[in-house]
Amino acid sequence: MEEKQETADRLDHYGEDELDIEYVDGKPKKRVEDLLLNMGPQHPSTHGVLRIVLEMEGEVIVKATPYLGYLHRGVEKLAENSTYTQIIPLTDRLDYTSSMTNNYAFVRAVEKLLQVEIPERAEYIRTIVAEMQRLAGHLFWLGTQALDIGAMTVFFYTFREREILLDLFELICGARLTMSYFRVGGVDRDLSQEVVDRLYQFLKTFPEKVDEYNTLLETNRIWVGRTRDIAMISAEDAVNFGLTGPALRGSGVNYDVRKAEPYGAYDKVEWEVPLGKNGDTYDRYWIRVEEMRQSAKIIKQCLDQLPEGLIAVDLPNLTYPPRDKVETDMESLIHHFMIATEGFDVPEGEVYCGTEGPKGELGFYIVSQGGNKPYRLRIRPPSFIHMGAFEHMALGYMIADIVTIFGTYDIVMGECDR
Amino acid sequence: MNKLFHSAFFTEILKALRMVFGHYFVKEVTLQYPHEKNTLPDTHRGALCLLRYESGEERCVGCDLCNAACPSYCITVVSAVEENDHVVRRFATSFDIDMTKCVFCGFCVEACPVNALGMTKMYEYSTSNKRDLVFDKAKLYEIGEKWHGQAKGYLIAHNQEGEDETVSEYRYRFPSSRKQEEEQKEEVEAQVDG
Ligand code: SF4
Ligand code: SF4
Repeated sequence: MEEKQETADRLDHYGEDELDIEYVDGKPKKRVEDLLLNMGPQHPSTHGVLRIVLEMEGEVIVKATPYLGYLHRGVEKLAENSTYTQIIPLTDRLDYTSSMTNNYAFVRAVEKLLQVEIPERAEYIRTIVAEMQRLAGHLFWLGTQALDIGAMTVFFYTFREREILLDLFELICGARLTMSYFRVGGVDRDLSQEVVDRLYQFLKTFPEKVDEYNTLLETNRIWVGRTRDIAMISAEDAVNFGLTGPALRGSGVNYDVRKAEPYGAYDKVEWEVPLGKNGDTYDRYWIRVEEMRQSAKIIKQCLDQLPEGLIAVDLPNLTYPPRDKVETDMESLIHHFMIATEGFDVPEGEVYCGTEGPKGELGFYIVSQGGNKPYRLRIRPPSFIHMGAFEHMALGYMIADIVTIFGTYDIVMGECDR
Repeated sequence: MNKLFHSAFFTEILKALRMVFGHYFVKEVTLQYPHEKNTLPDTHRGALCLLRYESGEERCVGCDLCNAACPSYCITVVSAVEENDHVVRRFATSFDIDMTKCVFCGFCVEACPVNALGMTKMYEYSTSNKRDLVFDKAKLYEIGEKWHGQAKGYLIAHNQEGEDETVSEYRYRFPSSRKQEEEQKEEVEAQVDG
């Protein structure tokens, strides 16, 4: 009796007396409670600042709620106060592992609104750099996903190849991560002969390197055990949740923006869309590896076909005038001043344009009321949409699988939180 | 049976081990950073600097275009006009670039009509005092003098300037506008002849 009083006093002290405690033989009865576990935002393997609150029953996840917004920088609002050219460096910082495709997606949306035709050489160059970026993005994913699951060696091998690509980017545009290489109407610089030669050289050895990663992973029993049947999603659910990119194709749905609405030079080269069957992490891994091989094929063909010509449209109110004319020609100087200070005017209208990035369909929705700044810019980031399917994909798996599950979409928080 | 054999003898792991040990005999690719450095291409977008003409005169005319083109609003230019013996000269009295805000996009260099700005390969200028990172005019000219070759190399690599003073290339290579120009010239000549 005394004991009971003591316990009640103690609970009273903590203000927990409302918890209807049942007593069995004078002792509080054991209660079973779900465990709430807070993962992130500073967890080393959450790919940035992602916080997930997990409700656990033993080791099994019964509820998983992602909390987003730790990396929110207000890109969409910033864009409303910047000219269209000034938004290009902002898009670099969305998905910082694939800034070329981000640039491409934005620039395409503006061009759709402007209805300008891009010169053929520019289209080829754009396709080449976008595919190089896809390679770099997938290499980055493969390395980090393997590292998260516990295979460290792959990380070093994939980063070795990624390094070559980043060096090439630096040679092309001057930066390794935040490229700002695209301009509305074309690209910033021409591909030099050195770039072309080095790219050919890289492509010659690249398929062997992919085989190398596969030797380490493809049949490895730990890798297979930790990816097969993990984070399964059926084709129907994948479509309903709006998944795109490798996450969707892993479930066997044949949808790739590059095939569905060809842009750039994708309809002029031969390539295939690899499809999975089970919709598990292993299939998505396999698809990304296959996509790397396809990307290498696309780059090779584009380099072979690379036409001569302009790398930006010849419109004086859209692109900077030729450099030597600025110094000699009054008209050109005025155009130069106008473009530098005010940018270019975009007609009134709304446009949505989706582009296939390494992570999925990256879309830009622009509302323009005329003038040199967008009235509203809305970004459709694949990572954000994929987060919506997170709980559905995580339910019923063990806590050890959670890292695999958010690695499987190739999530980047810069893009997710914008 | 085959499967059993593979799982009993860890064949996939042995195969991977063989591949990994093979890498002992491959040349290493890692650079030991402070001791070894990567060679950067001319296109590299590093710290900004201001340039002078060969005569030592400042190129910058204080037109503020770099400020207008900058996406992070980190350039501040105050310009003035000076009249000396009927020669009017515009120049920048103060020119500050806040390197803590700069995103190294190179838009300012692209916008400058007289190629006064250049980008160098300088990237090691970290400091414990944040104020040192606001580069003022004197500091920018100092960098420009020190890394003149690199800044010139950048301008040439980005088609801002020709290799020698007389031949300057088109930034985006517009043969059509060049053609137009020639046609106009021919027309004018024909008229003159007629
Ligand atoms: S490089 Fe870009 S961010 Fe830096 S000062 Fe020039 S325009 Fe501004
Ligand atoms: S650096 Fe160039 S763009 Fe900037 S104020 Fe001077 S002349 Fe004008």
